Amino acid sequence: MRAYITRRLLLLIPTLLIVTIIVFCAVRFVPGSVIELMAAQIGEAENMEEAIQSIKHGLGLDVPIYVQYGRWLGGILTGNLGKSLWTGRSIGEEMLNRLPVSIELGILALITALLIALPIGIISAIRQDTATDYIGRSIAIFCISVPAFWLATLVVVYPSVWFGWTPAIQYIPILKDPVGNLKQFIIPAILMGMVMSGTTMRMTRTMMLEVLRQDYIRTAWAKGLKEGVVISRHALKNALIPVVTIVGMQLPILVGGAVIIETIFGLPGIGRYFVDALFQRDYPVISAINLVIATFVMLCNLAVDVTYAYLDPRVQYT
Amino acid sequence: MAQIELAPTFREERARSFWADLLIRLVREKPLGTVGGAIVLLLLLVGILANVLAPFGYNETYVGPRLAAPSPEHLLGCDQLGRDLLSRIIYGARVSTIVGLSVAGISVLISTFIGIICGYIGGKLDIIAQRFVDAWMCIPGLFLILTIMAVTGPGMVPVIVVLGIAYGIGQSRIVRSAVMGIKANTYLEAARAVGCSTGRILWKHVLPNVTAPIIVLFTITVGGAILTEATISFLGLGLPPPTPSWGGMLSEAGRRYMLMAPHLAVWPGLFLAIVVYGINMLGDAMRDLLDPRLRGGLGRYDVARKKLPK
Amino acid sequence: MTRRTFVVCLLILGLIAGLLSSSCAGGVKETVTVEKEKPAYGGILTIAAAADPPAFDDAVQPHYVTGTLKLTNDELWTGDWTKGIAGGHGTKECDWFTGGGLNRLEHKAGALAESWEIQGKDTIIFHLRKGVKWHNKPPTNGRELTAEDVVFSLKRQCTVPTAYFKRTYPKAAETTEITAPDPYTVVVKCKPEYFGDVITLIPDYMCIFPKDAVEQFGNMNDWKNSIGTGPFMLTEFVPGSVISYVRNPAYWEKNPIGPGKGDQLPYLDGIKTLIIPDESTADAAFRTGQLDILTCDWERAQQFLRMPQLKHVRYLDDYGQACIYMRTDKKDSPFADKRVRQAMWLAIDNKRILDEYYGGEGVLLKWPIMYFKEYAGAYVPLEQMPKAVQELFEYHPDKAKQLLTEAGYPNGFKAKIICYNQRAYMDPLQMVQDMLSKVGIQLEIEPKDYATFTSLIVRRAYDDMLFAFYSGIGTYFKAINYTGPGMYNGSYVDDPVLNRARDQMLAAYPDEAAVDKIHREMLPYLLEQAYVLALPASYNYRFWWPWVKNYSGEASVGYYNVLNYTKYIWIDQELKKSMQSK
Repeated sequence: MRAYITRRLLLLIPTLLIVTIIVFCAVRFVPGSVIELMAAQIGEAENMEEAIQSIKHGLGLDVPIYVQYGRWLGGILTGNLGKSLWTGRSIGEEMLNRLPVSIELGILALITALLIALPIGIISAIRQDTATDYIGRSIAIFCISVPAFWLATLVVVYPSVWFGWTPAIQYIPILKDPVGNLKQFIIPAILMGMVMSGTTMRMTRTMMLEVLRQDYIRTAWAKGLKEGVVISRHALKNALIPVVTIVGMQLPILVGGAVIIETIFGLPGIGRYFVDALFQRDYPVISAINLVIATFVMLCNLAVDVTYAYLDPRVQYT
Repeated sequence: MAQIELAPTFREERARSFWADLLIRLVREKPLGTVGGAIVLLLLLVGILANVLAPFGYNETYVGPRLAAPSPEHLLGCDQLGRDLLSRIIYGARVSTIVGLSVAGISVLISTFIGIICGYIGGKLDIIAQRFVDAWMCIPGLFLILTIMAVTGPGMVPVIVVLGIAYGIGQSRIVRSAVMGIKANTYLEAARAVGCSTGRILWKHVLPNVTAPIIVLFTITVGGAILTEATISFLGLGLPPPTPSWGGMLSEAGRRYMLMAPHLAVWPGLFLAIVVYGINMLGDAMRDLLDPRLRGGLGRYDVARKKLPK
Repeated sequence: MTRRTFVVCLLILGLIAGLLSSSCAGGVKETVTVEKEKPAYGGILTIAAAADPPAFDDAVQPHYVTGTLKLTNDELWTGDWTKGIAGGHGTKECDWFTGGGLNRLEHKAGALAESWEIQGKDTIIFHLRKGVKWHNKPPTNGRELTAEDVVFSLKRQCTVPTAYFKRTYPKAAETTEITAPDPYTVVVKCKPEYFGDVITLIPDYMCIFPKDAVEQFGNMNDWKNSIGTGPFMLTEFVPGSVISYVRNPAYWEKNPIGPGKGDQLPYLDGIKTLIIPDESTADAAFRTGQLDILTCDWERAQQFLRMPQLKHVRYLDDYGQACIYMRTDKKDSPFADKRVRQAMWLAIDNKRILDEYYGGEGVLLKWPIMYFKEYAGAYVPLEQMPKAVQELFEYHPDKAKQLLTEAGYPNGFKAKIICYNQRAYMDPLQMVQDMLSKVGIQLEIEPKDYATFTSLIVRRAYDDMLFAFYSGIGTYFKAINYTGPGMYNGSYVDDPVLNRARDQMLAAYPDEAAVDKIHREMLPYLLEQAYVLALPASYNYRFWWPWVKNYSGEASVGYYNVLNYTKYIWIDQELKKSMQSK
């Protein structure tokens, strides 16, 4: 197992390299380059060609692309994520400010999602085709049937008309004021959690249903064990593998952020940062966030694969 | 002298066809699934017959006053360009069906293909393929959509292709994990011992046993694709106007006129919710009925316990 | 300080009837409160911005994207607050409502320059105000501003490669000399052909920075190093969240007019700008009193017009989209023929678009300029235009068909039109597509995402037609919307009559009355040529809570001096508390 983990960690590096090269090059060939966007701001320029050349040189984009990549890679290896082309601010510093927001939102959302999904999934499975099952599943499915931005807008707009109240707009860092911070995050987190819970709930229910028909469960019943013990000690562990996969797939929310929730509730997270950079073609920011997300996703996948082995002794890694 | 009646030990039944059997079991045992099935059927019908059902075209401007409330001529009201909302929702059913089914179809094909092969064969192939899957999952979806959309221009095909591939590759890991879970089973070993080719094993023995998660994934994806399209149209990357997608209607006009003309948001949102709900319920019911591992008993031990002698 | 009584008068200011065409739905009404009470110090103004300011140094990014510089730094000139409404006491020659493009020389007032002399078309001498102090921060530590700082800042704009002036007007930047014969005088000498650019940009566009600070930090783009002589000091910037300012206690300006005349400015203790990217969230925040002032378009305004406790103003902003450009330079294309262009315009029912799509809340005539009080002299209302021009704004599909047949397109033609993939652009375009199809012109709409769209405009690389924006009014004497090789000449117009008019205007400037006359005489010809199909423009609204005092809806007093009205307004804190507790 340790050899497997080490091998996977080493394989991280070439994969990251490939991913970053792809994104680095792709974003520079997308129509609508940052140079033209900046040139549009000085549309009254007398000599647009000259202005474009000046902008290109000022941004360091007039050198061949492999030189640009080399410079960027060199910066990464020394821990410098680069500077934004538009604001000139350090990307690393900006990310350190924004990551806690996204991570906090993500963790709270995941906890909410699991709190909703796991109990409903399990109960739906053990009480299949009863009223409890129907009600529980209906609630969970309705949660994912309505788009998150719609619920978020409802929460922001209607209370302002009915009660004259709207969620706090200005971000309060958790260290400055933990209570205020949690009050601000609780609504977006619940909304996000509701949306994320649906998939997990259904997968939990599916796998529990299958597991409950296995022979060893029947044996456990035959032995006279209580229902709670049967579920928790025998059924759950085996049902959880695909569920772990799904939760693992949702973990990148922590760094990918949730653009829509962040936009509507005014939280300065990574999601907004990334989308703004995409629309403005801020190449260094896109590459830096891409690198961070890529690393995180791959580490998550590794963690998920390792958890398989722990949960299911039949799964062997050579 | 009493007649001894021999109760037949084996009753002959006329075998029902597979689909008829499925349908009857669906209606008899799964009320939620039946409701879901009805909704899906309705959706397909409306989508196919949209031209006939809709009273106006989906892009006929100013057939009614701007932001008109529901009235006898316009049952659901009009939007900000005076277009009849009912017609747009009917055509929207077609759009949502196409988007949802296409994306789900592409994604299931991709995820099953990758997941089964990698999960079963394992070893070096698995490691290399998983690195590609990892690399792909690292590229943010929004980036992909933006890039492709900037090159091809906004449209339905780029959205479908990008969403389908993104979902497919992401879900391949789930299929793979399910395959890995059954890999150690004896029947597979038996098949190999008998000399089955790998292809035959995959098709005949592995695939049916992982159908359950695949069906769930398909139904999740249909609903998810419709919702994702709504989400990316919030960012301006979805189907271009005037395409009447429910998600697009919700994210643009629905939010802007929430206070002035709530009907613009209520109806698309309601239909969206109902359709996604129906698809998911149907999917659950189908999986319950089709999964070979769920045959034989319902596993409802609370019912069983009630029957035990006290 | 308590106030118990206030007198509120509602004045309906009728703008001179002849200047308003009947296309404006109803005239423009303004709610003007004449301030009678004495001002109060204190309070924090909360406003909203849609995005982060990308820069804090106007030599790194163009000036108008640096949202904070107008509050923290001064320029040589500013707009004259007393010529506006000024809480009901001003002369009302100006409104100052629009977002910034107002650049009349007669409406300027001195900021850092107390007085000035313009000699011919090549020299401007500025006499600096004495006793202006820099913010009390290292390295300036509250020292006095001298001509050295001014010359240094202006020269920076002429030499630094990223500076707006150098990049946009390189020849002007090279040939302009800026010197300081003594510590309170700055002399700017330039070539006569660049005089228009110099006098537009140098006095009321370039911010003045302290020489020692710039030399120490390299540039002023780090917000933590922000130093200026402005009314507020930048104290906090959380990207994506908030910008905070605090009052500069040593500010040089005193209230020039009204009940608070002679008071030390600014009145506010501070300003907080919340960065709210989503419109609905901003609306909700304003409705609950978390924001004091909100600017929005006419549709969003409808919900606030139902709240009688709010004050508002309705105005036209000087940027705009909704212009259809055509490749008039392609000799074989239909657009090179004036009859085709006119036919297209005749086939578009502008009035219907205005009434149905904009709900009547807009104006028909908006290109190249709309009606602004400040530029009334250059504007010709639609009723005073010749019949041929008025017809274009009406709906005559039969005449359109006839013109098309004359031009050789009896069955119309096909054309592609590129547009930004957003509802506000696509919706009116669809109406246009509908209308043109009735005369046989098939438009194929190609939506693009923003960056691709912008790059097509910059590279001027579209095939047939483009649905885009045009340049604002501040530099109307340069005629960049319909002459020259610049990006804003979207229709590739190269018309000798227009070029001559432009040259005359440039020669006449800075005599604005003469320029106005030339502009007015040229407008009918320009519109009749139908180089650009102008669609109606909609109104914008600005709302504010009544506790914001001395405020009548201003946005920028001067040329792109956004937010500088904040130094003249104050907040009635008791009124705010009592209204918010209800």
